[in-house]
Amino acid sequence: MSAVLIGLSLLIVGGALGLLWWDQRRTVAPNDAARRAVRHAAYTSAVAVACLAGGLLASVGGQDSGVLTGMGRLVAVVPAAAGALFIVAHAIGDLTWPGPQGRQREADLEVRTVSEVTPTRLARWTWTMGTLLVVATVAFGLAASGPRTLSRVLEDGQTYTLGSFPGWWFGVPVLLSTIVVALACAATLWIIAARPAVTGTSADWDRWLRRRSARRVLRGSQLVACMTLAGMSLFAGTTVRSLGLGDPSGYLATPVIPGYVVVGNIISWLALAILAAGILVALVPVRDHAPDPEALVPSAERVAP
Amino acid sequence: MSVHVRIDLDSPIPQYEQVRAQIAALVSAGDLDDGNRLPTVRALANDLGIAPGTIARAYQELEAAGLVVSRRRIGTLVTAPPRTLVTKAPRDAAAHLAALARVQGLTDQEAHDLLAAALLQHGRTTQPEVAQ
Repeated sequence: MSAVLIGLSLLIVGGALGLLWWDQRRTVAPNDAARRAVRHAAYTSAVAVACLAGGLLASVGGQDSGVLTGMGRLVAVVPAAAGALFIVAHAIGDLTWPGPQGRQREADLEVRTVSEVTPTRLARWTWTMGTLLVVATVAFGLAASGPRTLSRVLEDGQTYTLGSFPGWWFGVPVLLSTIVVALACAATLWIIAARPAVTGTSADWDRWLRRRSARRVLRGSQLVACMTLAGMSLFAGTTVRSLGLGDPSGYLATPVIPGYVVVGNIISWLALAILAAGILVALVPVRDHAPDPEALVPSAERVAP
Repeated sequence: MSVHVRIDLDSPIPQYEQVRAQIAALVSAGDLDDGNRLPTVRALANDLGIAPGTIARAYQELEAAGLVVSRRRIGTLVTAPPRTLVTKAPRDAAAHLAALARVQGLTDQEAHDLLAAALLQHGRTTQPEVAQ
């Protein structure tokens, strides 16, 4: 099973790196500085993807080999930790962005804001997934009867308790790691907006390259949010369903409650849908080509003497 | 219309002064209007590849001259001086000088030197003597 997972993960990583290479090859760069910037962005993303994949593969390998057995809290924060590595790699890449060369330099006096360089719909999706993760984690924590259990009261007053359920035992580290990833993501987007402009290119081309970097950061961030949300929900859905089905040993008189089973199934299916959506959003290319080099000459500009 | 600043690292003029002078000129020429936002210190320093402190000093000098104002959470805003009748004649004369310099094929530096020389001469002849 783990060999299949590792193979699938390597396939996804290979696909992502291939997309990066193809994206770099097709990019229309108007000059050497632009080509250098595109190459820098591609290397940065390749290292970031390797960090993300390495973290996730280490988790799969750790669970398979038994190293992570009984360390559910650690497993729960692995996607966020891998995501934080991914974001930090991007931040380092943007902090070491190639600056202007030469003894005479020029800069545009226009203001660049984070919202200008961030793809709006992807940003909304990412923040929505992050918010959903927080809401779901809090809801699971409130619904839990113990740190990692869920209970149902039987007719005779006894309680039927099942674990593991993503209560506060898992919820607190997940919440903290989500906050760390969100802050790292916001900081990296700010770094992307403030990094040096590419010399000899138009404001449109420079903004396009920033938008592409921001898109990659957001894609990775939403992926880890979706993976964590899917994992927590799948975990919760399975427990709710089992609770509804009752005690299989027959020790306790626990009639089947169809409502629990249906809710558990819905949560589990939603988890799988969220995971699929996160992978799709992370991998599907978007139509945002570099501005045409023929149109890169600024229409009008003023430089003080 | 995009507005640029340029710096020459080989120029004897300090970098902060180069930035300050160009932004002041753009404000005076009306290319930067009242309320326009300037880039953040870090962004402009990154774009020019110089230290943020250099840009911060240029912005401080501009603020001291009343050409910009820094506000927390908003950034640095241009506060262009009103184009009153008092400044109209000097503006027209400066525009005339610039046009003549172009016609005569003078470089920007030569035109600057001419103006600096005229100011120096005018200062020598009309500046009231400092009270003893």
